[in-house]
Amino acid sequence: MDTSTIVILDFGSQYTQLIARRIREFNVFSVVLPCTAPLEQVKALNPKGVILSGGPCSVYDADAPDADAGVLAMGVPVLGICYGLQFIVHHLGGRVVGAAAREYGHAEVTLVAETPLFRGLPGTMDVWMSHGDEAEALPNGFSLTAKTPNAVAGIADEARKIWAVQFHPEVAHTRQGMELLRNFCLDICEAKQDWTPEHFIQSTVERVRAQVGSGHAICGLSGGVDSSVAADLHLCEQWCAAQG
Amino acid sequence: MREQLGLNVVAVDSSERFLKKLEGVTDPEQKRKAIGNEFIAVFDDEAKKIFEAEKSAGEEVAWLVQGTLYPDVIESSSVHGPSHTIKSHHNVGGLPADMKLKLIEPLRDLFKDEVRRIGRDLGMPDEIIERQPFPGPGLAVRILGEVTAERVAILQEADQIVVDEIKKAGLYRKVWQSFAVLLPVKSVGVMGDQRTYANTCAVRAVESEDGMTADWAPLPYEVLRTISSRIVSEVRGINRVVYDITSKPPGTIEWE
Repeated sequence: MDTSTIVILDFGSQYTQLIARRIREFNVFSVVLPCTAPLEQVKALNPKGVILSGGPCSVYDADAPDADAGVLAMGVPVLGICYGLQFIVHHLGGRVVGAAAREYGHAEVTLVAETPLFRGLPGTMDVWMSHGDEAEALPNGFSLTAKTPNAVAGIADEARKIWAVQFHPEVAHTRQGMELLRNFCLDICEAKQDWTPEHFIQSTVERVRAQVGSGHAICGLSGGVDSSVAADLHLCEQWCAAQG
Repeated sequence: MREQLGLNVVAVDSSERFLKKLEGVTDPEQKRKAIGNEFIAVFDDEAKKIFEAEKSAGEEVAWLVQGTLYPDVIESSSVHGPSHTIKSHHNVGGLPADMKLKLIEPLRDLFKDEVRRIGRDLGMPDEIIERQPFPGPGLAVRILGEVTAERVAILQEADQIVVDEIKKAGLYRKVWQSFAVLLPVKSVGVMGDQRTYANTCAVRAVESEDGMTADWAPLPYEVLRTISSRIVSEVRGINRVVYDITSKPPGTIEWE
């Protein structure tokens, strides 16, 4: 059974892991890779979609974290978040500049275009912003989908299946952030919600059994939840038998 | 564990070995180091016994199971992440070279909340699944100053009361961690008509999403009152209880 996978490329945001957790909350498998991961590694995972995370740098810094821009041309849907948006603009021929008015914290975003990413969302949304740069000129093919009074808050090129937002849908302060991520993963990427505990247990037990065979293993057991579950999983043949 | 999970568990009481290594040690870093090293030594000794027993039965132990989680895996490869080195669980580092164990990390794709979901699906009991995080070096980092058998006993009694009362108030899952700390501070009190001169116990309870940042928990006064009066009247050696109202940052969750 092939698990539907969303790949998250990490540009160093403190929220990157949160993106992965949010997506898994609706039972879609997500993998975090460093932005420097080779394109082949991303392709090998056969992702349903790719998310580009935020990050602490400016795209025009000399040491700015960079990724293979080939991810934008793989033909799978892409969602850029914050730095991810700027990465897209920068690499596809637009322009990113230091913002006159930097935005940190709560902001109100107005949605100005209909796009599948915003399906079911209200016309204005409270969101969480954390950026000092902004998109000044959009690449060819892109249109504005959302804005704040100060800056570009969302762009899309539906023909190329690329969407991006300047705000952070993964943090709880962005009230409809979960719906936005669901729209991307379920509607746009058509990922299956097959990352369930049963699926994980079954595939892990199969893998461990294939690895270990009839060999024996030892485990330091602290009584905490991690080592207990790890130990229990390894020995849960009975559980599988019981589940039939 | 043995009955509930059907695991083949070997329990070892090595408290004397640990206490011996901790004699006269008061510096927090030295304490952690002494405990970490002794843990590896004990684990080695026990692992060797299992190896020998298996060998004479014609079997072989070839694998080591570890509860590594996804955040550690991500951090170990992240470009600008908070940490460039993987946090090593202190039960791997020191295994002797003659035990050529291969590693199994069945949870390396999972976040903590997912591990809990899996545990629940495996039918594990709530007291394991919902257990609050516990420091690697054990209660020693909650005994400031020298660790002795007597001070361990005092802290264990006080800690049990904190946990009991937090559970009774239905707050055990709501707070991230809740525990007692034994301070190397004595103060004067009065019990009955007797003057006392005994230890101070700090109570710590914090709320957190992931342990990276934490706020001190605004426990109801009633719960604090019960904890305080139970500790002072039931635990011999403590005559004063204080509540820690420091968040992280700038504080840490544990005191050492």
